[in-house]
Parts: sequence; structure tokens; C-alpha cells
Amino acid sequence: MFHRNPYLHFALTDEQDGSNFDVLVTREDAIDIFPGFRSSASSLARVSQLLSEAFGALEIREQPGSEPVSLYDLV
Amino acid sequence: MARGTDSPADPDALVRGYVIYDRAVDIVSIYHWLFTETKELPSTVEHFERYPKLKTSEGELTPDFTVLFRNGTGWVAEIANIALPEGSVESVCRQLDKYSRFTHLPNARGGTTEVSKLDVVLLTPIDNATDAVRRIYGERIENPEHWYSPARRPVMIQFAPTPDHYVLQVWPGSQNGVFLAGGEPNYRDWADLKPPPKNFANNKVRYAFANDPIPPLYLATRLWLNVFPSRFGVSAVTDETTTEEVLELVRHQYGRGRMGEVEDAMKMLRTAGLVTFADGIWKIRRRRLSRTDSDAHVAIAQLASGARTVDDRARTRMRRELASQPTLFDEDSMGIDGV
Repeated sequence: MFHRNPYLHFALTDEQDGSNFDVLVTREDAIDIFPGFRSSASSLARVSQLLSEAFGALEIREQPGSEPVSLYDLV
Repeated sequence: MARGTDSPADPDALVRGYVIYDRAVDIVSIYHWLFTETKELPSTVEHFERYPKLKTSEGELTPDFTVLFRNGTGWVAEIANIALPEGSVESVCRQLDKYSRFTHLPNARGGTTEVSKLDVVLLTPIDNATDAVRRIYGERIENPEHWYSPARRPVMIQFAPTPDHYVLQVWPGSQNGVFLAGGEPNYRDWADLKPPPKNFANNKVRYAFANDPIPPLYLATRLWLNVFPSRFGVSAVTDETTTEEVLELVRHQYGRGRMGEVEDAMKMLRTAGLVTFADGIWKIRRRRLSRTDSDAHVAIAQLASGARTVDDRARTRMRRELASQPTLFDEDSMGIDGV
């Protein structure tokens, strides 16, 4: 665990093949998984599946390129 | 652990240093995102430098970040946690004074570009802000007897984390400086901002560090949780590496890292009993830091300080509780006292 409020940040290592991920929870309805330097596609699928089952995820998807946020939305 | 040594230190002090540095990484990550990924500001920015190094006649200076705007103006920013001793304020003022004399800022080509106007921006935690204004602006800038008398006042922004977002607020008092640098639209149009972590998290994962020297505990935690697993994969009983290799890995993964910082972090891990060193080789004993969900940096700080871990304390407490519970073989519990 790296960090708690205002967001949760921890590192996760897959003991099956050594893949490493940064996992962040920055909002109540999503878990973001950032593959590290050593991470395989199969491990990403395994980790995503486990987390989605544990938390009853509605979907697993690659984060799409999002529209830039306006500073007016941060006021 | 004192910097550059591997002798034990106060775990609370180590953790405080970790938290302060981590907050600085958050703040730099927020501004990195604001100036490069939002809708309004990126079109005005030529280059955001996260790790600026500026050579001056007074040596190399390393502000927390710089922004070079397309109109040839710029920001130089410093995150300051002003402490009680007067020397702490004097040190910050000396830094700000030196920064105010910059004539060039880093550009995207690895060189520097001349700036026509420069805003010196002071970022300070909200709980120190009132004190910072009194001591920097009131007791120094406005005191004709004091040496710190910049041509233009620094602009102070206070910040604070909340459960949902960070708060960034340009100090509203009349003593504060004003923004002259930047294009249109301009940061000054948003005196109060509340960026949530989802906006800058990507940036923080990618860069991980601020420009200030990385505290040994901060880097040791990164090494243990990210760098070593990425290098060695599935845990063996013992992995081997060198300081040079660790430095290379850190630089490769995060784009930043110095030999002294890596040496200090490895020494901390050695004090914590997580690595050993002989003949230029580090042996890493990969294992879980704790059987509870305690934060990794707290567990390393406790191990490095010789303090007992949370697990140790829990076990001791359990043993004590078990020992104090009456058993069928205690005379008291069997009601045979005095029989």
C-alpha cells in the first residue's frame, strides 16, 4: 500500500508470472489497473477478472482516450 | 535513519517525511496535468518541466517545477513546508530570491529559453499558509530592514487534500503577489480549483517522484513494491543486484534518480533486514512485509528503526490476553480459593 485518502494506491505482484501493477481507486465506481514494466497480457486479464469478481464489476475495459477536463468543472 | 547512514531512526519521523514528500508528488502531478492535459491551459504552454535543473552563478538550482509559456513568460514554483525555526523561513526566502532572478527556463529541447516575465509561485499546505504569509510577507518583504525585498512578490497558493479532491487556492489576501506570466486563458482566472485524484493519478503513476531529493523511505518503498518485482519477477528465495543496476532500473522506470538516493534507500532496506550487502552485491530477501494490511512504508520504517511491527505487537497483546484469562486450572476460576 502506497497511499490512502483521498485515493487508494497499492502495488500488486502476480506470483504466477511476476507481473507487476499499480492499482488505484480514485472514485467510488472504478478501479484503475496500470501495468508495470514487467506485466503480461494474461496476467492483466487474470488480475482484472479477480478484482471484477471480488467487487461485482459491471464491465472491464481499456481506458478510452477521454475528453480533456475543463478547469470550469474543477471550480 | 539519518540521510546517508544506516543507523536506526524514529519511525514516526520517517513516515512524516514520506507523507510530506508524497504530498509534494501529488501537487506536482496535479500541476503537470493542469498545464498539459486540461481543456484550457495546454494551448498556452510551451513546456512543463517536472525535474528542472538550472545552472546559475550560485550553483545548480532545482525548483519543484517550471512552466515555459508560448508567449515567452514563465512560472518557477516551489513547494514549501515552513517549519517553526526562523532558519526554515530564511531558507525558503533565499530560494525564492534566487528563483526570481532566473532569466531563462527549461524548454522541450533540453535547453533553456529566455523569459520576459517570471512569476515565482510558492505552494504551501493550508495549515501553514497563515503563518507563511505573516513570516514571509509581513515580517520580511514588508520590513525595510530585512534583506528579502524582491522586485515582485511571489504568488502564494495554498493547498489541502480532502476525502474527495485536492483544494488549490490562490491566497486571497492583499499581501499576495499577482500573476503576470502566462497566456490567455490564464491560471489566474481560476483562483480556486478542486482537482480529484482520478485526473492526475495517471501522471503520478508514470512519474512517481518530485524534484526534491527522494527520502530514503519513499524510494525504498518504491523499490520493494515496484522496482524489484519488475526486475526479478516471481520471488526467488534471494535475488541479487548492484547499486548501479538499481539506479538504472529506477531511471528507466521513472525518468529520475540519483546514485546517492539509491544508496540511501538500499541502506534503509539493509537496516530493515530486507537486504544484505557484501562484495558490491545486494542480496534481496523477498518476503511479505507484514501479515496485516499495514502500509508498506510504515512497515519498512518500523523494521528500519528496530521497532516491533504491527504483527509483533498484535502477537504480544494476544499472548498477554491469553495469559491473563482464567483457565480451568486456576484456583480462582474453579472457586476453590481458600478451600
